[in-house]
Amino acid sequence: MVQTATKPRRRRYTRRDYQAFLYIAPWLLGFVVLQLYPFIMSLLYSFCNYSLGSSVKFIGLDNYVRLFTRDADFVKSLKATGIFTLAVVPGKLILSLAVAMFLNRDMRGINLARTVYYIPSLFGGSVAVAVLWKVLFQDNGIVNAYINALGLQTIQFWGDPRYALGTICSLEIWQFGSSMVMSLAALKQVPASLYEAASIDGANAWHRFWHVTIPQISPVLFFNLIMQTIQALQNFTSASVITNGGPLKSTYVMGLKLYKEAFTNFKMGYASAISWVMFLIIMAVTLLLFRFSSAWVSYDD
Amino acid sequence: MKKLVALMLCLCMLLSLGAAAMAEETITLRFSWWGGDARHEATMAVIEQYMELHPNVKIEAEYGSSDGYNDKLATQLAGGTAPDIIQIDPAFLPAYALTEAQYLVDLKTTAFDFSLSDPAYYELPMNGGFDGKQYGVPTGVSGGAILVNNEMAAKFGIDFSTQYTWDDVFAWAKQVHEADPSVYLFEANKTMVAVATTAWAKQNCEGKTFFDVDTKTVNFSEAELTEVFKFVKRLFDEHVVAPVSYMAAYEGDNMQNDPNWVAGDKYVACLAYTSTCETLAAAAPGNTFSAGKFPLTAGSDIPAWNSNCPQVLAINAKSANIEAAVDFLNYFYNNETAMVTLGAVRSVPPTARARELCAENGLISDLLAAACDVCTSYSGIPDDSLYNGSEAKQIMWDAIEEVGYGAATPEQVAQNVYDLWSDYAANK
Repeated sequence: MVQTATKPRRRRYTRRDYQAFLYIAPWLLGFVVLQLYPFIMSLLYSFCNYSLGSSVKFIGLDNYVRLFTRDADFVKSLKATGIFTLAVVPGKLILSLAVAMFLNRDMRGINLARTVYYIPSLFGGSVAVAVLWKVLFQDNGIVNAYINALGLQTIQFWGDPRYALGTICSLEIWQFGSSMVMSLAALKQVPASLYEAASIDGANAWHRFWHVTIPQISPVLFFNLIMQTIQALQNFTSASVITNGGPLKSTYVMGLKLYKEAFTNFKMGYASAISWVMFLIIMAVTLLLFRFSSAWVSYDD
Repeated sequence: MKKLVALMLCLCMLLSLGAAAMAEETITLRFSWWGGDARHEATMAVIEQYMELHPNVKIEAEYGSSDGYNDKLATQLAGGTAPDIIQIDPAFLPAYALTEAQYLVDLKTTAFDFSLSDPAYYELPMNGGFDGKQYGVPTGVSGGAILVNNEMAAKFGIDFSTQYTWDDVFAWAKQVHEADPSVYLFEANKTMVAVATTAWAKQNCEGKTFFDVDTKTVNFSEAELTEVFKFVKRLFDEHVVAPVSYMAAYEGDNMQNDPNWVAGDKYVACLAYTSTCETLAAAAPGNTFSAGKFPLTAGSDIPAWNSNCPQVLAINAKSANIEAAVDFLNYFYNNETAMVTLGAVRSVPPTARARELCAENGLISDLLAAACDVCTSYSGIPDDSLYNGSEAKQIMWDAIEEVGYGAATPEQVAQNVYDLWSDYAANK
């Protein structure tokens, strides 16, 4: 304090500071042009009637009112997204943890096994794997060939509204690799001494898992939970490629609804409103997860 | 030494730049389309021909499959980066042509030569004509088609080549399905069911189209729409078409992938487009195919079926070289070399002269020619521009799906469609 009072600085920033600004300028520019500007504009458009090619008219909350009161498809897409998230996130977390536990051991060829289990994630979100899934599960596909070989009736995985969403969920759950790798890394960090101490105290395998492993890797589980939830709420590719939202809108997730309003119906204002509702839902869910994380996530430090 | 070489290279570069600037100014045009390999090759060849004749014009081709083409185009038009010459799906034409932004050039205000084109055809709304303006020109003649599997038709004794009615269709479907429950009269996904339903609606409701474009209202009452969806229900219930749940995997232009179609013994015919006829026929190599007539309503003299174009070519109003783009379009449409090069890669050509040339050179298959002859022989009422919009069609497809799955009654579906369409039209 005294120093600055007695020796006022002529320049706020040094030459070194300006160098730093120069280095971060590309990122800043990208952020402002590609993130901040669209972010703000989409908020503004969400209060407007803006069809592609026509002028922008301010209509207040009309888009939002329509979404929640008159658009039956939106309710369907909320439902589809909700079911999808509730099925995919726990499914992926449990499966990834189970496989990570299985791979967390020393045996011959374990690195190969780890790679094999990670492969599906390399295709994550890609169109090709969605197309593959479509062919596998179609009425004359290989899955139905096995079902028929067992003497059972063909299941219309894509044509029956009862199964379509579930089949898409299975595709997403199958791509558990990235969560698995992180869980595996976390499992490797759990000190062996804790397990030894627990064993001496008479803990069985289940107790060791529940009272040692889970608390120790809870930060990673929490991170996976957050990331997978956000990803699931934004799902688009599989529903778009395989079923295009059908049958009977049973797989019409919010991401797809948003896309169709924007690029099939050209209602950019309305689509912006949907994207903001989506954003708020994701925000709310994430905050809730953080709110309740203190109850089960433990940090050593 | 290095410096000397560098200096020399710099000099060369400067000289060449100077030379280029002195030469005639080069015009660059961008031309975008979608299609298969045959269309790409023919279109590229025409571009080459034109560039040889006009050395100062450089045409950049932007082509690919139809997947995502329209989404990209929509954003390009909005962002002002669309190509100069654009192939457009007629379903999206109203959205581009009739907006305040005026994305497309009215070709009647340009030097485009319409002398070989038939105004009765190109001035239809779905072919680019709106209110006396021409926002594009049709690339060909196409329309619905009844693609008949000759062996199956002979097996069941069904004759699609003489005029028949919807009553015949239902009777045939019953006959076929009773003989073999795994066989359906028509292969048709919900897009094609919508085409048939639209024709039936016009035939049975005084030739009305679904929308009144002037008043922006729905032309059909809820009661009339109920009848329309009762008809759809009959198509499914009486096994005229395969179940909607089965066909869900073969939506859009994917009917040729249906293994039951490929097998060649599960459908008597296919509700198709002329543009997809040959692909469908090729997918079932064990059978022979012909083009059948369209069903009419007994006691109604409204033919309802009609031809339309598969795509239009338009010029971007923001193009810096509209004149040059029009000149290229003229070559593309009216030059005989171009006509022969293009053949039937965009369905049967739109001008009589091009059709003659294609016939002389054997460029159109008999099947395609027959299918186009059938669809041009029905002078039905074309769909209105509002129904041609993608949103209205989507509402129709959703409704057909609901009826097909039995998720709602025709009355409920009709009411829902009426409300959604009214809302859609009022906001246009």
